Amino acid sequence: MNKKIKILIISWFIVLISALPALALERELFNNTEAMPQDSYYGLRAVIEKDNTYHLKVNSTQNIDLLILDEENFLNYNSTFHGNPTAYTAEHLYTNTSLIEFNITQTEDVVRYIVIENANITSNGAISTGEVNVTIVLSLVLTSKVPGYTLIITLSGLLLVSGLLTLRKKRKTL
Amino acid sequence: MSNEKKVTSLETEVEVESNTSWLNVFKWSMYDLANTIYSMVIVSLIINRYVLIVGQLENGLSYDKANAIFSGVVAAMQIIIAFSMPVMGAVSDSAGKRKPFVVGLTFAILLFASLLGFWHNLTLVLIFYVIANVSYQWSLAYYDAMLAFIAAPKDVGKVGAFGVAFGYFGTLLSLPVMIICEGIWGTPISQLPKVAEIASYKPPVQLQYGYYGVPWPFLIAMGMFLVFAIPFLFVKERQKKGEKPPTMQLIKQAFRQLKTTFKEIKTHREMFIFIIGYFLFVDAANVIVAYMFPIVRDGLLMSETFGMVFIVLSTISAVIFTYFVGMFADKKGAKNAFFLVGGLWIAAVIIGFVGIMLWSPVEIGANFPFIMIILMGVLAGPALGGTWVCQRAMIATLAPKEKFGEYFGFSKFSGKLSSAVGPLIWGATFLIFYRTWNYKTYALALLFIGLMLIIGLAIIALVKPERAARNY
Repeated sequence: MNKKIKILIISWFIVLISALPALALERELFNNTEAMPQDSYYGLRAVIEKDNTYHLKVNSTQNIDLLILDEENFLNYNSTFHGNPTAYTAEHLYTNTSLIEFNITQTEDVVRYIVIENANITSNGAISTGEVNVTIVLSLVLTSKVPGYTLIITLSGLLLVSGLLTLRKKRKTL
Repeated sequence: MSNEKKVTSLETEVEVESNTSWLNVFKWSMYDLANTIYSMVIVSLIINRYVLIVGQLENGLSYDKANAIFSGVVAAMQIIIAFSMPVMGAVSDSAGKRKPFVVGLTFAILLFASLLGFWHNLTLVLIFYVIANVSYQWSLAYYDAMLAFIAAPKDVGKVGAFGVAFGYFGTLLSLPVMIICEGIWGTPISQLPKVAEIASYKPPVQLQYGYYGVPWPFLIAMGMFLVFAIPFLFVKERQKKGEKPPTMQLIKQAFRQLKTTFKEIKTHREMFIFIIGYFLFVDAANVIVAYMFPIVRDGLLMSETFGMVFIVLSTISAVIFTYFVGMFADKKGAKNAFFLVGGLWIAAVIIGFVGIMLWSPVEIGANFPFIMIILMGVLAGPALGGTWVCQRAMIATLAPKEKFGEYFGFSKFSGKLSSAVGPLIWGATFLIFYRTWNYKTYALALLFIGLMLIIGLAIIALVKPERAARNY
């Protein structure tokens, strides 16, 4: 077999194998199961980039509350949690539930705090009675632009090279 | 006992080696290994992110401001280095021996680089770094000049390559030690991650010094430098004979020479065009290399350890593939070799840009982004090594034979001076865009540097080597 053809086959193989994860619909940014003690909060500080869609899924063994806060409101929440009541407003609030799943999208780059509360801070929220196991998964939903560009460019490049090589080979045989 | 050969010039009587003692060469090359530990650990790995952390934690600066301050200081330092190098070259040429200068300057490097870890004070850290790094660059001027006095003229190329190879060993030795340091004293965090845990019962993820926070890694690295440099103390160097002109006269002479060379180069159209193109091209190359570690760590958001592995990978790739760039330059000419090297740089920059914009944080494993990042490292190695190879080949093509040393020295001066421009562009990019672009500013900075590289390459494309050859 021609050396160039061999190289081409190997390149194709590498690209296809390596592109497989890029074809996935979601890319996990965070995945963890945490044993939350009674009267505690746990969660994530996440940079939410504009025009990206993030998928959040939270599962827990007992009912909990979930709050999405910006930086300022998180600081106030944290103050309240540590016994110094300060007014705060959550961008999103889910109370007394054990399964939460939703998408987050923002029009500009922002920092958001995703707080899972196993405490009695939020009014009308879940009552904390003991340890709660909570699984939190944050993923970036890959719209076509993420894998598309790189994959299309690489595949087109390889197709072009393959085409040129085949044409050259044909010309030589002629 | 080695033979001696006396070469008499108008001004001085110079005694050079006519017989190479390989034991002597080994002792000399060990210094290359030793000082690479400094450049790898302090310059490539630690200083930039250390300044970022000190600036943010101790001075309350933002990431972009700390970055801009560091880049400004680096730019000022490069100007000092560029203008002092011809002086060092002149002093070195007339000095009886160069070894005492190397030893003295090494002492300064060891002292000030060791002190870096003791105070987390931005001003002190920057002052210590500037002193250590200027001493390092000066010591190289004397060290390189020793070559003619320890190797026979026919062996100079071989001995020089021997030194470079030892330098690569320095890189390979120092990185595992720093990985161990990271394991013991922790990972530095100079930029908060995009997604980080928070909990009422856990300390929050925050900026931290990690292993930069204790003096030990600095002391260990400089201890390694000291130990590996010991054989250098026993290097036997032929001494220059004849009367030594006063130092001030030497300095004046060096600057006069620089001015004359600049005037002369302007009359050699092809050489002048090349120097301008090279100024932009090498600046871009220098910046990419200087910021390679932060690009991987803070731009591609990969681990500290992978950042070190990436540098090892580029180094190994440089060792293997730079030779082929040299072969290409011999076969196809220096100008075409510049296109090849430029192509390698552009490919590496494009991968870096796309990687930061679309793939960060890049996960280690069998996935397309990771393979592309590995490819970026593999391309950057020979691109850097090839840049120096092409420079030498281009000057050899364009310069009249009797002016080769002078023009080569001037292109080196131009390269050093240009190293001041890149950090300024880099710092300004962070200052303007970091607030909105966050870590993606690295992609933007790479884009600007890439544009500079393309402009440099386009100017080099205007050089007509055949016309220069006709003129001589």
